[in-house]
Amino acid sequence: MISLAATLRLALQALVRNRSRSLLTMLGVVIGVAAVIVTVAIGTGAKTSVANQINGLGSNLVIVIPGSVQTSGARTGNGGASTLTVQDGLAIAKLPGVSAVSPSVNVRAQLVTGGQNWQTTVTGVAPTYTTVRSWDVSSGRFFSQPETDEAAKVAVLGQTVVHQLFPDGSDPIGRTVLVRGVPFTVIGLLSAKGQSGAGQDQDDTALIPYTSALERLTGGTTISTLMVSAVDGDHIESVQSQITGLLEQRHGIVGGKADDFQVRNLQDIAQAASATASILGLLLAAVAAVSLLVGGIGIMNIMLVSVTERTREIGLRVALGARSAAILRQFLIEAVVLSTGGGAIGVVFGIAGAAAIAVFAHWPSSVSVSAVLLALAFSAAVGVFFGYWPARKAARLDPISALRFE
Amino acid sequence: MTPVVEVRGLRKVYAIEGGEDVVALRGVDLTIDPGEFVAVMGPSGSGKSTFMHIVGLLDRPTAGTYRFAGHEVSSLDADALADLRSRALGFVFQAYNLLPRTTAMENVELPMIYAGVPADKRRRAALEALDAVGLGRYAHHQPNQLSGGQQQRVAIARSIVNQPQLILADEPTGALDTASSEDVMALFGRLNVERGMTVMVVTHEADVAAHARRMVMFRDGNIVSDEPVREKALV
Ligand SMILES: Nc1ncnc2c1ncn2[C@@H]1O[C@H](COP(=O)(O)OP(=O)(O)O)[C@@H](O)[C@H]1O
Ligand SMILES: [Mg+2]
Repeated sequence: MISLAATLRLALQALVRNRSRSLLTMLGVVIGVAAVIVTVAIGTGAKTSVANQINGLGSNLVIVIPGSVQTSGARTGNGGASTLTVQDGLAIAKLPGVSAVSPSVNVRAQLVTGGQNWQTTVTGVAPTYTTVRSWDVSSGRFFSQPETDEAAKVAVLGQTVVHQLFPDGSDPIGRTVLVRGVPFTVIGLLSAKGQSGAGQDQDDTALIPYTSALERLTGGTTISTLMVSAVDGDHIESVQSQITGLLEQRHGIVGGKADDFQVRNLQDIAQAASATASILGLLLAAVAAVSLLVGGIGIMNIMLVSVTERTREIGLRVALGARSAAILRQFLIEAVVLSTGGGAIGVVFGIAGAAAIAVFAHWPSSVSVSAVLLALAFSAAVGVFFGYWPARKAARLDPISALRFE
Repeated sequence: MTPVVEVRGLRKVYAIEGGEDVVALRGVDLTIDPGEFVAVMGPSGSGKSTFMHIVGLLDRPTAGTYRFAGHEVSSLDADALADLRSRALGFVFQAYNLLPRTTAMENVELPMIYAGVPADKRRRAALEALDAVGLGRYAHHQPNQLSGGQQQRVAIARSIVNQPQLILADEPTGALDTASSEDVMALFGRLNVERGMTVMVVTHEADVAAHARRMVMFRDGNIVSDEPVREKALV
């Protein structure tokens, strides 16, 4: 009886004898597997980066934004109303289940130092902001409650602003920055945060006490956003409904009147985002699986042609003493070698492709070992599945007519 | 001495769909003893190849008995027949049937692979068989680098490499010129005389058959004559 190793050698010899055809046959699987690897890498990468960004925003976060308002028939979009006040924030902070609240007052402003200037979003916040956003300073310090109470002219700069205003690399702490002409002292620098899910540079910001922003920059009392941190994940829903009740009461919204604010839960946003990423990944994977299937059909097609073409050879092998099981095994191994070889080449191309997409398209991608193993196992299975029929056909050939075959 | 081949009342009928059955063999009796060199002759369609395929365990008779080396083979299953072909039979075909783009050496090794012979022993036996057919120097040539006569000699080396009890050749000179045909038949003669190999050659050419020592004549599925070959000089 012929050993498996010897059969493998016979199969490899047969494939090498038809080198170019073997390579072309592999092509379908190469493309299929490369597509699987790339799409899974992109899908996984997108999901992890969404998750990272959501976590980066601070866990257990509830965001309150002004709703739309209707002025003489024309409705503004969400955030168009200027209805949220500092007092709303203070009231929310007293709700059970709330651990911290920080208002945000956003102001587009030109920042000027000695020789440089830079336009950025100056955000007035409370000291609790570091907790709420889980975002700390990398050097210096954040402003304190007393500084907030007295509307101190102090600022904490994001990394992008630091680079723009202090390109020579000198230490910004203790320096003075003019914000709309008002001098602020830099007391701290924020740690780098990178891009947001929407592709915004989160480090392009400067934080000042919200009191300073209201008194010295906007001159009003309304705020852009309230960021509320629940004590833990289980309290998010109750905090949301309490905020809604409280604000409706404070804003005098009764009956069927529309709220002039919106309460959003970051977890929901996160889930929606990752669900979108999953569906995208699933779609891509389906496309990839179809191309792998087409590759498998290609293998079956070529193997069938090969069996017909090699009819005489098969007859000869039978005459020389090959059992039909040995013929079956050889052709099956040929198909599996083609598909798995194609799979291995596809993995190499897939990893290279994922890396290229990460570099050139700035799209996060991560190739997982399990995706590689799965792709290889799947391509081997494709070989067995699509190789079996041609192999059985070869094994069942009548040796005499096979030998007579022209 | 146990005969290598012993057939009695061998019949082979091909059922033709929508037509009359073709009777290829009509009750053939034949005994071949070890060391014989038999030529099977007859016009085209007389049943020679059919007979050879049954003797070579590639086909089964419709009726009759066949004892190969003393064993009744009709009860054996396909795998047992394959193993017997691998160990005890050697085939040579008109079209050489060498694997293309494969060296002479690897072609000769093929039957030993199916017989499960280990690699080092395979290589030695293959070289020895190639030497026996005078092609030791061509071990690493591929078929397309060899002449027709040389290719057929590689095929003969392949047929003897497992030391079979019977070598079967169906029109082995059919594709060769006269000189190469002479070479190939002389080679069968030497293998028969020097190594005591039992050889059965199917041919329809009298001067090819003249190399054998016994000539069996087929006509319409029957053996019509069976006699020793006269001295070659007389042909
Ligand atoms: N597979 C087959 N099906 C039907 N008829 C066949 C088959 N093989 C051979 N025959 C017929 O059997 C007869 C003997 O054929 P064959 O043994 O090939 O003769 P030879 O080798 O002497 O030329 C011929 O009439 C041929 O047509
Ligand atoms: Mg014939």
